[in-house]
Amino acid sequence: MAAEMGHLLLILAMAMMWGTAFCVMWLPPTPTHFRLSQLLADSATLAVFASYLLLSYCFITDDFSVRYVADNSNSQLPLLYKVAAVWGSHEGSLLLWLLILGGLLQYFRRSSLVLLQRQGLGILAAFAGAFALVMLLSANPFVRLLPAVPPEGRDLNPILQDIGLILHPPLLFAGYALLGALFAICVAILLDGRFHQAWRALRHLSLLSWLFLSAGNVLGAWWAYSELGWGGWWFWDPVENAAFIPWLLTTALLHCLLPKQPSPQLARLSLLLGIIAFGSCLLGTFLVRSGIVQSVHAFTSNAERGSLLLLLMALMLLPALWLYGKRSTQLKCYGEPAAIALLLGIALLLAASFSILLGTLYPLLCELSGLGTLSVGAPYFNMIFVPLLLLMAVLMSWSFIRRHGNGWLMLPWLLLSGLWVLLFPGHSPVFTFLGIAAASGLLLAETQLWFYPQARHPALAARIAHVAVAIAILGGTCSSQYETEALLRMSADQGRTLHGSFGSYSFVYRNTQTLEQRAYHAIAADIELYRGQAQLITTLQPQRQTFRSNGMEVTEAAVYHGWLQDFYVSLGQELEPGVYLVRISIKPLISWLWLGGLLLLPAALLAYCPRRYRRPITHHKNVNQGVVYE
Amino acid sequence: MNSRHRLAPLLAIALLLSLPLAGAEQDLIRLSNDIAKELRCPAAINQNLFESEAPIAAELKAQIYQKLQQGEDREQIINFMVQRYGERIRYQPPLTPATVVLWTAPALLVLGCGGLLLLGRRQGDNR
Repeated sequence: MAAEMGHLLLILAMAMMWGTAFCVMWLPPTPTHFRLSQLLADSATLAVFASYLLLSYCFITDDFSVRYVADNSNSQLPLLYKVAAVWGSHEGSLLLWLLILGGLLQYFRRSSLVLLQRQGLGILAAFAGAFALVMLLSANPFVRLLPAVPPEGRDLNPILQDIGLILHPPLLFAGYALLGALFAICVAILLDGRFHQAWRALRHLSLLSWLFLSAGNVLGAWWAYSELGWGGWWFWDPVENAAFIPWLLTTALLHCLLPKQPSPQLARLSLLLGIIAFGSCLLGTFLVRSGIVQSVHAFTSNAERGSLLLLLMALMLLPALWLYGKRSTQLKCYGEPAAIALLLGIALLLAASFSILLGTLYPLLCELSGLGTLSVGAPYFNMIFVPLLLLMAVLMSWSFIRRHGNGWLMLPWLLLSGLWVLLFPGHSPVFTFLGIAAASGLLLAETQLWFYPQARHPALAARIAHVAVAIAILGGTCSSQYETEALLRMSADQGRTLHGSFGSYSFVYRNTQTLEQRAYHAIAADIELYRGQAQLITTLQPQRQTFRSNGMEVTEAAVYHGWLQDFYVSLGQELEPGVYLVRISIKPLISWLWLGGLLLLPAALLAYCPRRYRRPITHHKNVNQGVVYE
Repeated sequence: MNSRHRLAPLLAIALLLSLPLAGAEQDLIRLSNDIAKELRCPAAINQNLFESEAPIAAELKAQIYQKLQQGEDREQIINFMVQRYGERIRYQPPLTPATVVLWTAPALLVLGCGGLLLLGRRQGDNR
């Protein structure tokens, strides 16, 4: 019963979303129609919410006659994971996305801006309605398995049975849904023509989506590092790129919205960025969910739902881009031209996102055009992205340092970075140089600003964000360049000393245990970690878990975290009875990567703080502040 | 617990004896890991040889190390793998007519985006 109710509510929600859009976009703007549109938006939000709750209810009550529940849950699953399993696979994650879109309808409906209440609401509702239709046609979570109801469900994908799962996907979907709202605002502005009115809303939404995308990306990387057992934190896998490209584009958008009175060029650019950032997240979803590109993280793939997602993308993007082409040139406004450094920075972010997109799509394009099969992976992406990162850092530092006439600092900075690489070359001197130079340049620029507090400089939020990026670059560079790793055959009471960047450490394999848990049984190794060869630091316990429900094997790495370095041990396959392949790694400064990622969040929250907007604008008072059509 | 403590000195000696690997061998292992990281595992979906746990990955990793010991260099080994498993095995495609776009696009994009935005700025000035 619950599933049918949920199904019905989903259909109703779709109808009411279409209704909202119709009311706002086609009916004449009378107060009655306005109230009707608001009522419809409210009911659509409620219906999606109820539908989501009903699906959760199906999970909690183990209703295995619902196919999605039977495929992704199990009566033995703890309650917390049952609730999280709702978004553990394709159908449910789309429902979560729709739920957040439903919530955003309320943000638009309750906005004080007529622009958002009307055109914005209409466009968002139209998108949400189309999204609901795609779900109903190709990814309906409420489909029943009748009459052959399985007595027990398959399990939630074991890799996902982890606390990281509970937060990571909702954060990303919130970011994606906010990009949808951003798209709605951008198209509404194009329809209406008043840019400056919606500037604040545009900025709020882009900050919020940036916040969620940052958190989602950082948490995803953390999850990959601490749970997946491969030892890396970023693999340039298509799924990761699908989340990273929207983040880069949103970062560019945030920078576009920095000036309070944007020049016509920046106004146009920000609208375009809003549209393509949304497009990139739809494209990413299409690539990942259709299974058209191969990914380690792809848990579900289906060609049919892929084509529908592609159709949805075309239906949203093509009219928007057409409108942009037609209307954006008519914008006439008088803001000062943007700073060159700002424009170049935005250009670099754009170039980086399109390069990553091209690299992700290239194997597919090659195959389709008959040029043969090939792979594009981490070595390519690193080679492209890291130099761009240095260019961005140079741009950021240079524009700040030069402002106080200290441009000469650039020379000693580059020389010192070069000297550092000569002394500590790392695995690849080129990458070490690029990373170290980028991070130290940024930090140098920030310390420069510290000495000129009275000068005009970027807001505190921006400074924290830039320091965060510098810290993350430092952590990322050092952990990959100065990593000490070994793949060893180990059995009881065997040890090995590794020489890390901060001294040598010994790992001694003590014994193997078996652990019996509710969901899995595991082989766990006790590996002692010594400083030098005598002083015991801790005992690490990496595991190999075999899930009872589906026999899937998962490695659970053990990590001893520290500010200077992490000790990472993961247990591989059993080579002979009692002999295991063990992967050991000492990763210097990797905690700094997480620190940097974590610092991005307060920066975004601080920028969101509305106090900044109350500050009076002192310069160029006498120009027309608005952006209007001719 | 106790037996473990009694074993400790013995173990330390065993450790000391087994430890010092020759520097050259260390370099060889590192190089072999680096090569394994650049190759895609033929059996896994999208994982490199170094990370993959598939049996074929273990075999290929051993083969890379053997070939390094026999004095082959990185390029020879990668070429051998490509001959055997096709272009798909290498994560960093070489510069060929088919990949010209892939390798030149980033630079063109930087120049193009930068140029367009600067041009747009100047036009805005004139207006």
